[in-house]
Amino acid sequence: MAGVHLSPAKKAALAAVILATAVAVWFFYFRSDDASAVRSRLREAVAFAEKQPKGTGINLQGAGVARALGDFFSTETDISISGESRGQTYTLSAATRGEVVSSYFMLRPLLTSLSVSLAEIDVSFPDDTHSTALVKCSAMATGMTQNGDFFREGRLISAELVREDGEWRFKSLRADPVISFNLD
Amino acid sequence: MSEKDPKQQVPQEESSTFVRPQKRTDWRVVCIRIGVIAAATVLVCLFILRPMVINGSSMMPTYSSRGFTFGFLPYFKIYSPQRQQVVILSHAGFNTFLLKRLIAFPGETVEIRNGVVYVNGKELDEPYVKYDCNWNLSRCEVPKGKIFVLGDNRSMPIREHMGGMIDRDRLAGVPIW
Repeated sequence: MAGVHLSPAKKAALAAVILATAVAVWFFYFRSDDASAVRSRLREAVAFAEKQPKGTGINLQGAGVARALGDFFSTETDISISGESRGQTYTLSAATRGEVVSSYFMLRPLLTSLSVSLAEIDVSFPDDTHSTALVKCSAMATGMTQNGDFFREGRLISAELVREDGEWRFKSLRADPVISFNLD
Repeated sequence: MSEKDPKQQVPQEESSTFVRPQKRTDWRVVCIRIGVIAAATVLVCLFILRPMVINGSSMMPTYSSRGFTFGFLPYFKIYSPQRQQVVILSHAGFNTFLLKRLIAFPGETVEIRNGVVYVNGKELDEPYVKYDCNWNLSRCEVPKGKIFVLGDNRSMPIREHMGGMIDRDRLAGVPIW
């Protein structure tokens, strides 16, 4: 097979294109800025919420979980998750870090499995200091309750995170259904 | 005497044979063609004609569960949505969509009495609803920026049906069949 012979100018141009592509890839995927830190914080929180069916994967358990989970939230927070289940409308809310942790341990046994995928994560910073981040994204939750009910639903996630001691923590979090008969 | 006619000296088969250059497969061209076709297919399937597997029975009997269709995604960049049109709505991300029927637009009122849908107080003729329905929904106005959608299968209780108000921005396209 004949080799490809390039003139020095073409070689230089090719090298420039490869270098520019590498820089672009690094810029978009590997740079560590506030927006990507917020996104990864969100994904870490989702990993805490997920639950694998018994006998598959690793489920987070133990006393350390409470502390680690609490670390995702501000001391005073505002969590609101509304929805419908078996004909009943519900709203789960928590106003403090302690309430979030206790709700987590109360609700988790009710689920056999839960997996959440995030999409279209939009992060914005209302001020130049980047001390507060506003997040909007879509989440798809799939799982099964202990009653054997399978569920799959999309939610709109709206969250406000604040930077405390160098860590991004949830100041507020809402997860509302994408489609609903209920206007409120 | 024995000289032959020059025309006869030329062998017959030689005069009618084409000289074909031996074809060599240029694999670089083949690879480029395959790459271009693959890239075009991916782009078309992502942004123009998205293949979709229907999961769920909320649009029965118009669309059955495990059915297949293509979503024509640029549709609403060309045409305006029409009432009672089956539409594809973005649900979560770019991979999960809803298939619903468009019932009402912003500013219109919707009410359901004993399974009959009323838009702006007028009964909506819905020949595509084949199953018995006893839903009731008190009159509500569709807010600005929203649309009201329902599935064709209304045999389940209204609370178990995924329908109602949804952002108009979520209109993603139409199924092509």
